[in-house]
Amino acid sequence: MSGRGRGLTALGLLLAGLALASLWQPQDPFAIDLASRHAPISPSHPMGTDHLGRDLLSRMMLGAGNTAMVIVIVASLSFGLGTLVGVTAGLARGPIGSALIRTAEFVIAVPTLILALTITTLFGLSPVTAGLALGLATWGPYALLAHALTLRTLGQPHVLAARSLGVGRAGVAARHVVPETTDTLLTYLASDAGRTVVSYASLAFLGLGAETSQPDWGAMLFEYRGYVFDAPMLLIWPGLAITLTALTLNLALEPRPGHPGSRHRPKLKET
Amino acid sequence: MRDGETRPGPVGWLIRSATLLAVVSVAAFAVLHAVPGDPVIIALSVQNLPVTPETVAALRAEWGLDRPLAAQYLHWLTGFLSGDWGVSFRTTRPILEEFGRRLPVSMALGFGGLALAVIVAVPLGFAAAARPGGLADRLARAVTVLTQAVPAFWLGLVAIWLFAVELGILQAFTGPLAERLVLPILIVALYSLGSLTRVYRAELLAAVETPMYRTARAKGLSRPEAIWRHCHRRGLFGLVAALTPEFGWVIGGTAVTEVVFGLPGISQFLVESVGARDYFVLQAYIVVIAVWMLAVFTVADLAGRLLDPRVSR
Amino acid sequence: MPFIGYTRRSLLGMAGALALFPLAAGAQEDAAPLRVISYFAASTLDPHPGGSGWFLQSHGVAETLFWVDDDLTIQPKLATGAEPDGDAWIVSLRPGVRFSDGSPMNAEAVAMALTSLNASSPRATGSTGTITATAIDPLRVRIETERPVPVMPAVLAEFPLIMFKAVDDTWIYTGPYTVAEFEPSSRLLLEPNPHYWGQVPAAPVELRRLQDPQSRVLAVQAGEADLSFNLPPASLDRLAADGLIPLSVVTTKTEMLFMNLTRPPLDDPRVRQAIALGVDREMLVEAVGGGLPATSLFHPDFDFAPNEPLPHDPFRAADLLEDAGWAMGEDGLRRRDGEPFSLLLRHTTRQPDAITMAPVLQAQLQALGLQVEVRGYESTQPVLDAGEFDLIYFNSNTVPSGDGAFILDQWLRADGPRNHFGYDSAPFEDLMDRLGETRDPAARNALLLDISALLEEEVPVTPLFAVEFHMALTPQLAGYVAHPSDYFIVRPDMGIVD
Repeated sequence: MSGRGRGLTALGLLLAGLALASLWQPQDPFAIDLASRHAPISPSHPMGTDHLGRDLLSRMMLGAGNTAMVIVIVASLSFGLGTLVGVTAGLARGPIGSALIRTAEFVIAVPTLILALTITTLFGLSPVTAGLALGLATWGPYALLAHALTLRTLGQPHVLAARSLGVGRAGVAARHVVPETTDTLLTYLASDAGRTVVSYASLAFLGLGAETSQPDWGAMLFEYRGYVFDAPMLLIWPGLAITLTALTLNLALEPRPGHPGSRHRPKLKET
Repeated sequence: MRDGETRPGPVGWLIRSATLLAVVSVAAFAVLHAVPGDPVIIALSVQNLPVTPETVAALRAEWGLDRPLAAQYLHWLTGFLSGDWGVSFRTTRPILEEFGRRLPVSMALGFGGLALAVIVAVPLGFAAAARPGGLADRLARAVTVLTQAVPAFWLGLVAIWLFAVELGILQAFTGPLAERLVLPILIVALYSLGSLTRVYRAELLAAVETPMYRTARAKGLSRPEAIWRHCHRRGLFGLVAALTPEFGWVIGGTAVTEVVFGLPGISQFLVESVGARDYFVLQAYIVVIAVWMLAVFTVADLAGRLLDPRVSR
Repeated sequence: MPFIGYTRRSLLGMAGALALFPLAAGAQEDAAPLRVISYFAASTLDPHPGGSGWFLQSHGVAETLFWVDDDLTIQPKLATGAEPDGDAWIVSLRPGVRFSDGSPMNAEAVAMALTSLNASSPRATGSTGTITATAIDPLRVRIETERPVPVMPAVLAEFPLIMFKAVDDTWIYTGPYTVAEFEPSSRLLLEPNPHYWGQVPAAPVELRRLQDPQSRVLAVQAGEADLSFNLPPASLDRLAADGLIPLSVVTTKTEMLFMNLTRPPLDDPRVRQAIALGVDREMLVEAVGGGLPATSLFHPDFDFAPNEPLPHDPFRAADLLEDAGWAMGEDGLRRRDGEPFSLLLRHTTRQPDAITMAPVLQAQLQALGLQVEVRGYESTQPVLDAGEFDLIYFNSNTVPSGDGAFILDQWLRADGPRNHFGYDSAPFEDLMDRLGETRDPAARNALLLDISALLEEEVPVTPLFAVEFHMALTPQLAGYVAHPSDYFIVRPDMGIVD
């Protein structure tokens, strides 16, 4: 299997694993038990309990699926929209191409958080809307990257040859541009997955509380943010999970040194 | 610019910029009309004022919403250009004044952080490129992954605890502004460091594939020397390109840090305004960020040209 | 490492003690400022915007004619008394009160202030309509109101009605402190007001706003604050171990669960009563880490508030729901004609406690067989105005001016400006009308008790608990007495050690 194939398999396995974890938990993740708040690690609570006595491990597992969902939604949206706009801009040239690129630049310019916050203010915060909001706020870099790669591809000898033979732009797009750009774009997609979840926590931290009825790791970082010092493990477990997820995705799809287009890295960060 | 096209001169820049600003001004103006629900009712609600047919009609007239759209736009535009950006529902202060007071704080934070990040990213990226897989390389990757998984508010709180509480060497909240900015700037720098380092490194490594580099190596230069001589510029070029969007971030993206450290910046103000549906603030923000980014892209363009007059962007 | 913190703190303590020597001798100018950290700071010094009265009183800058003291009684402050005169009132002013520029606060100034505030701030006129104030002599003001007022001191204790004077392009006040430095929404340096009619404060106060609760905790831990207000209860033990003084006060803010009577099945009083009985207030208080289970909408210490906490009786609740036709299914959900009982519960996301309570309330209602969807929001008012809720909870100061009628007028009267709940009850209106005409305090208390009893039956709202505020102080402020609200955080006697 090629390196890319291995990486994508790892990604698929990871997301599947996260989704599966959300289907079964050892305890009811919603069971409140004020008598056992902040319980230490024990056989019945391998990660202890939170401030309402709920089993942390079960909540983490339930959150895994929602976290995966946020990641997938953001990724698909930013990747899909960005590629679409970038490739179209590269093929269209002229004023349309320019306008599309300007839009992408503007979207990049506005801090992700402001855009995402505006969207979620209007539609409420849940994993789905957060995914949509973050996706809509972050497609810009993908568009620029796709655009640059498209132009590069179009300038290749074999593509120029195809064009001179009369192959239409759509054909060129399908047969040459898309395959050659998708590769690189997927790389950057995966490496930013972890940041998505943390961005989500930042969104929530700034005042749009996450829905505690559908926990995901970002929402948990928000819900437990008052316990940074009093019950630090409540933040460390989700943080660790996010790190491991990000690390896995990062290593699995690491861009090879010297790969064309490694200039534009999509940004999903807020501090 | 696109391959094969010539760069526009100053006149072209002027035309493009004017067009951009015109479009942006329309977009900003349209905010009020794009809002779901009636903005007048929302404005009254949010300020805890009674929502009656009379108060709604009065506010609508005050905002000029009963006039034709074009007239409204002109009214808004002339007001805006003459410095009347409206008043914030929440703080009851003129929005221009809020921006004027808060923008410098966020700028100090953003610029300081980015400058620090660049200062560290260049040597770190260089060392990582000079020895791929080595210590610097792994350090850079570790920073990237770390800042992906650690929320800024957590790091901020822990940093305050460490330096202000446990060690007692900094006054995080009550010191002079410069002292209060130390930790936040460190945090902002940390969060930018990962990606900047990687970009710089990646560009250096891309340049390693070029014939110029290989020739230099063949002539007997060591890897670091060769990279320095021939790949450096390309690295900086990529760095400038990566830095450019970061600057937009200065106005709005530093919100979490500002909240944790209690800094009266524009980002925190914006976030609160979004939540409070303070639409006039959003309008002002859209225009400000557009003008700002225009300035940034222009400067970056010039810097790019200085670094490599031959390369089209 | 903690050693360094201790050394700093003990040095601060010594410095504080040393600072008190010249204070005791009466030299105030050199005193180091007391540093107060709060979760809010004034954004303007203009008294007219709706929240200014609250900000400026809390910062110790402005005062009202009457106020609600630490024992929850209405007391004179800038006024000395109020006498009815037909439908109007004659208010007598305290002699010798001066604005911070030394000019006297006389009846003319008071009349001007009242008229100006009334005209610009509709909240200030919520209960009275238009206020007409005229000076009849230098120390007496005659006040006429559009709607007759049974207890004028309560109206004049409402926080928007602060006394001020417009001078050039700024405003001055009568409070114990004046604003020497002002960074809107961020920081104020408050200097003692030498013209203050009462005890002039011993030291200046530097007040800062820190939005994040953890930052407020860290500030006092790091020795950067002498008083840090509104802290999470989980942090108090930690702070006590560091040598700080934790202080908690149960306030007149009540957390309340309002119901939308326009949305079935909440139009059935049995259902509403069941919800009120199904809520476990003790458990909510425990989850949140502080507070007092509610006896009514009002703080239990008020004379017009009942003493018994509201009952928690899930069995009776189940009976009521069955009576109302909601049968319990095997899956633990109640249904009627095949339709499940589902509710939309809304809450603010701006307060950590509100977020903590959500799953607990949800679980309590689900134990009754009710399916509850929880959705948070940023801003309460738009949700209320749009009616997008079945149940909504938030907290509010239910007795901001010492009189129980205020909140009932605003929120529960059929034509009340904040009645977003569809509550329109003839018995309630009747009691409220009678209350509006009763001036005798004992009679008013009796009526208010009757009203609380009626509300327990009709349940447009079920009170949950009285909200507790937590703060931490350095030993220097050991004598600080907290007002049961956030209305008076900066107090004139701060820093004076007995």
